[in-house]
This record gives sequence, structure tokens and C-alpha cells, in this order.
Amino acid sequence: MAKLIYVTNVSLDGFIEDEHGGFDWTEPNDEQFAFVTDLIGPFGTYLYGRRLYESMAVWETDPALSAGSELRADFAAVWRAADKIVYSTTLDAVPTARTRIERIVDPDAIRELKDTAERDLMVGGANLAAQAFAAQLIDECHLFVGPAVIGRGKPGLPGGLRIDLELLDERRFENGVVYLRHRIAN
Amino acid sequence: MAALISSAIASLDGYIADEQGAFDWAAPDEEVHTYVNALERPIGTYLYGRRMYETMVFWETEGDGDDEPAPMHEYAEIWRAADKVVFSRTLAAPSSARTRIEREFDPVAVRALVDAAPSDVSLGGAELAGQALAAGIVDQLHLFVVPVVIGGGTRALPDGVRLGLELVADHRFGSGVVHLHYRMQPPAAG
Repeated sequence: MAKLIYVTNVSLDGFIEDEHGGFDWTEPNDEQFAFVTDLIGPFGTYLYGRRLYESMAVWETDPALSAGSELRADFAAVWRAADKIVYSTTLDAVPTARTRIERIVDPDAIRELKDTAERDLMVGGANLAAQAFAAQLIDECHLFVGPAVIGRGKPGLPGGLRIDLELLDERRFENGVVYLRHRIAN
Repeated sequence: MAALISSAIASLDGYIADEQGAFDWAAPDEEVHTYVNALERPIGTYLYGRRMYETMVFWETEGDGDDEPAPMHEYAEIWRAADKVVFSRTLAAPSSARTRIEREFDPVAVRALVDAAPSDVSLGGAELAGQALAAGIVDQLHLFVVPVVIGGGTRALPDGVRLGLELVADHRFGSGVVHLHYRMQPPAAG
């Protein structure tokens, strides 16, 4: 059975973005960038909310983004090779290949996807992840904790849930980002 | 020069206590306790809010029983040897030695206390730490991240305060707790 893995950047106080939608404190350095490419390489399918999908789609639609950088080109190649599911009630068409739109987040459908998928799945976006946490669909949580306190914004982890975790991996990058990989224990 | 150091044990989602005020999940095991003792040995003064003081004053009379593990004995010793300042409008008298009460938390006075102190000063309790972080008088931050999501409660870090940090050290414990040690970055110009 494939695992569903939540991966996100957060500030030290747990926010994905500040109250104005900014996340300028999350810019990865080359070391972290290469690590992320290796991390998501094995994932077969990405589950996205609409906003995160739109900010990631540029890796396919904008060739300039990866021009002149092997690191960026590697990431773009990994991203393009995976299947994507975008959860959106409004989106009509998508500009990237291997991408389908779902109108509702159906826990049973995601469970079936996990049962049948050959490779692990990744979920991105705080709202979508919160729904997946609530439905107990998430197997692992990978946080890249940035060296900043931003005080207010969109939380990376869901409210109102108690989740016991087991630490699987921890490492620091030169830029002060700390990677925390947890398995959901309950 | 002495440093003002803020420390907290927090859940992965950044809470020091849940909505009922419980923090049973935060109790350090012997490995974490031994490590905390080494960090706190150089502390000359503890600054507390009233609630945190009432939790910590346990160490004035407890922690050194025969059935309690060595790191607890050691911590009781460290705690009793340090000075304490409790910031409270209501507390009438302290219930530990080397302790004085201040009615107001005045960041300028607290910074002056730190600057004049012969050894480092530690700051405990979310509310007090929040005021000090907001006032920009904190030098270092220690966070012990416990492998649990609590979903709500008292936040370890203050609401509405933006801080640039520099990671000094990280350490992983057998229990899955992770220690993160940061130094404050001076605010960017402009």
C-alpha cells in the first residue's frame, strides 16, 4: 500500500505563509533544493489544492524557470514526471500534462488511490492537508522549518486534532532550515 | 555580557499547553532532562510569569527524593541556586528563597537587569516570553519540539511578532524530541 505524505515549508511558529500570503523567508538554498528534488522524486502522484497547484505549475509552463540551472532543471523534470490531482471547485482546465481536476475531496477515493498506487503520494496545501489529516489519510509529515517567526498567517498543521507522531529523521541545512520527518503514530 | 534566553517545550504545531492547560506530553525524559540541566547550569536568574512560577516552584521542595532519578536531583539543585523574579500583579509573597516579585514587566528594566547580570538570564512562560520577544530584548531562543500535534492551546511563540532567526544548533533525542537553538537576527534596516 502506498503512503500519503505531507510535505511543506513552515516558519518556526508553524505558518506556511504570513497573513498577506507572503513566504519570502522560505527560499531554499541549493543544498535544500537538491534534497527536496531527491525527496519527491519517488512520489508518483501529487495532490494539490488549487492555489498551490497554480504556484507549482510554472515548473512545467515556464521553461525559463529551469534554464541555466541543473538543480532547477532536475526539479522541473521530477515535477513533470509525476501525476497531479488538483482539488478545486472552480478550475475548468489545467495547463500541465498528467493532471486531473477533482471537485470534492473524497476520503474514500483517496484511500482507494493509496491502496492501488504503486508509488507513494504527496499532498500539498494546508487546507487539503487538514482535510486529509482529519480523515486519517496521512502517513507521514515532512516539515522544512525555516529560521523565522512570522507571528500570524496560515498554519501548516491542522487545528483541533491531536496526533501522536514518531520522529523518523531530522537534519539541518546550511541556511538554518531544519527538516523534520514524522510518521503518524495513531 | 549576559544573555537573555527564552526556552520552551512545544508540540510540533507550536503549543506549550493544550486548550485545557495540560502539558503531560511535554514532560522531559531522563535524556532530555540531563541535557536541559547542562543548558541551565550557567543560568543565574530565572524570570517567570505567575503561572510558570507556580509550576516551577515545585523544585524548591521536591525533585530530590530517593525514588526520583538523578537528573531531577540535579535540576532541583540548579533551580534552588538561581535567583528568581516573578512578574505578577496578584502574587502576595513568593514561596521560594532567592525570589522577588515585580508588579510590572518593563522591557527596559529587564534588559538593564540582564546587562548588569554576571550570568545568563532565562525567561519562562509564554506570556512573558511573548512580551520580551515583542520588545526585542531576547538574545537566544531554545525550543524543544515534542513529536505530537495538539491542535490548539497556548502558543509558544507570540502572536503578531516577526523575528529573523539564526540556527545555532540542533539536537535529536531518542524520544523523538528535537532541540532547536536560535540566536536573534538584528532587525533589517528600513
